[in-house]
Amino acid sequence: MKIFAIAKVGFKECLGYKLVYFIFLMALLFILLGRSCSPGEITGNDILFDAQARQNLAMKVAFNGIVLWSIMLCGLLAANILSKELEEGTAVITLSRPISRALFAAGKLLSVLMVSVLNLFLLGFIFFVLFYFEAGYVNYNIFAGFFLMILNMLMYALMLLLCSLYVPRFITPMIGIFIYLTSCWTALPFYFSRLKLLWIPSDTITNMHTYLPRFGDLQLISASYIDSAPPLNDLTGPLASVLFYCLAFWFLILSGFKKKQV
Amino acid sequence: MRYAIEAVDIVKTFGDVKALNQVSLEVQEGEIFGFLGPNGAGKSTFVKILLNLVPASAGTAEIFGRKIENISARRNLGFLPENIVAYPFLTVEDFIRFHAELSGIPKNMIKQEISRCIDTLGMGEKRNKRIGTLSKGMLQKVGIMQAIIGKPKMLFLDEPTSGLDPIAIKELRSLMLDMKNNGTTIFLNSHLLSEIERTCDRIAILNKGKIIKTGSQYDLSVKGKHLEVIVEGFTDSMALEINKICSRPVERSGTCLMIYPEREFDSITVHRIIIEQGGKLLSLSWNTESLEELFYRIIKDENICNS
Repeated sequence: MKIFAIAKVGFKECLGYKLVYFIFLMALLFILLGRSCSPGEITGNDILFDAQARQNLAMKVAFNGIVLWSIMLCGLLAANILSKELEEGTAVITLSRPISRALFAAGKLLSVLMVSVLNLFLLGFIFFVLFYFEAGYVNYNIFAGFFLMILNMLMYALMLLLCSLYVPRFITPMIGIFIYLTSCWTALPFYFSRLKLLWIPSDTITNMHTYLPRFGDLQLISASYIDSAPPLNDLTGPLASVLFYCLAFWFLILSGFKKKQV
Repeated sequence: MRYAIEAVDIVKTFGDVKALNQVSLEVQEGEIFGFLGPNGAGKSTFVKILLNLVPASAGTAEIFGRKIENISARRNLGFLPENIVAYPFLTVEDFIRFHAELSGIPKNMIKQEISRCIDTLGMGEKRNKRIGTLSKGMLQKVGIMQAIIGKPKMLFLDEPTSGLDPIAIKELRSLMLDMKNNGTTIFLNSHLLSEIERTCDRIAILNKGKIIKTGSQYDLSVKGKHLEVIVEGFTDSMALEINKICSRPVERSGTCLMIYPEREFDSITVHRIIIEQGGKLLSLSWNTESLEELFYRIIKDENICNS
């Protein structure tokens, strides 16, 4: 299959970036440091946080950290994978082969996802093992959360792949992380029931939450798997947003890439 | 008749600059076609349009009867770009395998094809070397290997001799002729006129985005066929008389004259005029232009006409 041939080369290319290992090490450092911080004592009664909730809270902090590092990696790879080929001219011979530009872009996207997901699950597994030694039990739900995050990565990679066709590739990851964090921030008042009591979001925040790609929703829902599987209703809106944005980004990538001179 | 390449009125503009101006071209199946032109004439852009790497602003083109926009037009096709840029982290073998897979070569044939290409270019020792560690000449050979993988029916070579040593150039020449004998059509972009002279069946000359001449080298050089005459006692009146039967004015360098008669039998007339005008004819011979002279003359004439 031609798409896998392209993805295989893309995968090797991604693994050749020193940045991949740097980010992996940073995330690993985060997990290891988090491990020593997480069992901290919360004194007083257990009205707000019982023992289990405290344990889960630590887990969620680690989960979100791992996810953010992986998202950052995914963005950096997506920003480079296509634009670098176009800039340096390696795409010239490849595109003279009997393949469509859509297939080429899909192969490249697949390679970014392969490396990002590998990074996510490797970090997740390390965390899982450390957590087992720390807490003495296992929580498989964390992997359900990671699986849901693959959708977020897909949407994020598509968004940055699109940006990289029009924006210099060193700026693209910054744009991506800005949108991602904004989305996370605007999602906060809609997902924490206790926060709702304190924070009534303004119209601007509500609109941003509604119309921006809902990365934050998916991340918070994914993290909530650590407590228990969220109701299906919570997932409908964000999944519809993912579907819409993925299709829109893909369509725009294809129309933009088709017009690009190689 | 089905052409290997048929381009009709191809136009390409970059902003205000017209890189190609209504270029029409037919390349017959099984021939080696040379595409000549000075730097910036638009040769590489034309090839890139044919490969659908750059969209044309206007015009249509087909490769083996298939529109260039269709993926199927790029089946059985090999391309060596002017400056090959390959993935530096891949080994030579992995790179060729990658292109074999993209070309749609059956899986069970890939290994055999890779070995054939590597043997053809004598790259056995470099098989497992990373591309990033290769010299320019070796990289060019890798480019040629990926272009000939799968024995393509159509081969586009853009400056294929760039970076190659004389032995490799000779090998490439015989490779091209072998491929031609096996039915491959070759479209050759080159600045090396001697290479084109030795290998091409037909040529087209492109200048400032326009094709100014197309034909076999013989057809084109017949017009540049001239008399080389060494004469003593050359006078202006003699020149006036000779110019009456010539397509272009007499060129003089010391006692040597370059005369371009319109008809072959005018050599007798030239002889007569020199004698009648009191000159002494020391030698007279017909000469045909080399491709270099032809190219220089055509481009010069065209530039004079334009200015």
